[in-house]
Amino acid sequence: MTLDVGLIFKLAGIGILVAVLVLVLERADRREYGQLVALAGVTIAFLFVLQLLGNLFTAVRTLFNL
Amino acid sequence: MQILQIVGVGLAAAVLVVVLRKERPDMALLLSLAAGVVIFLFIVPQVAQVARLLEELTVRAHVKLLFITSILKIIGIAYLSEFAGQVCRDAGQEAIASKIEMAGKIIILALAIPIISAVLDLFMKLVL
Repeated sequence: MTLDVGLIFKLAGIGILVAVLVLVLERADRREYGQLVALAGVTIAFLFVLQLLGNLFTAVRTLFNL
Repeated sequence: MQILQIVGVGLAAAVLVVVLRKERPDMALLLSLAAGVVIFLFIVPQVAQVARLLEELTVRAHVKLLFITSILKIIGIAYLSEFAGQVCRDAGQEAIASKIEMAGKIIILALAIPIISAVLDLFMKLVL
């Protein structure tokens, strides 16, 4: 099993990108678009994390034969 | 050296979480959750080695395999509930965290019923 550093940096990148986009959109008086961008970013990041959680659950299930 | 990798990833993830926390706390939570899962997935082979050693010892000592499998199950449930509880506590949801941990404890107690009844049987045999 390798240490998946790429995923952590990917999540951090999505977070920083979303934060900057929301900031810019709010400065441009597009608050509703900013909220949509924030929601989309959280959903995409959540999908990544969900996949990772699935890996965790299968690992724990095989490890401790739950 | 695996510990160096784990320390490096943990510190990097902590810095990124602190950077994100002010602007987007939701992303920071997802990031810290991902870091925890990644680090656990990295140490899975070692845990498997230890579990295999325990099973081998039980077989050699002629102890019933039921006991060691229940103990392994209990360790797994304890780890998972503790993990989820800590994530909820990080997110500021103290109530959900304590409920998850309570559920874990109750499931562990239910799993331990065969062991407890075996101990009771042994006592009865010794006394009578």
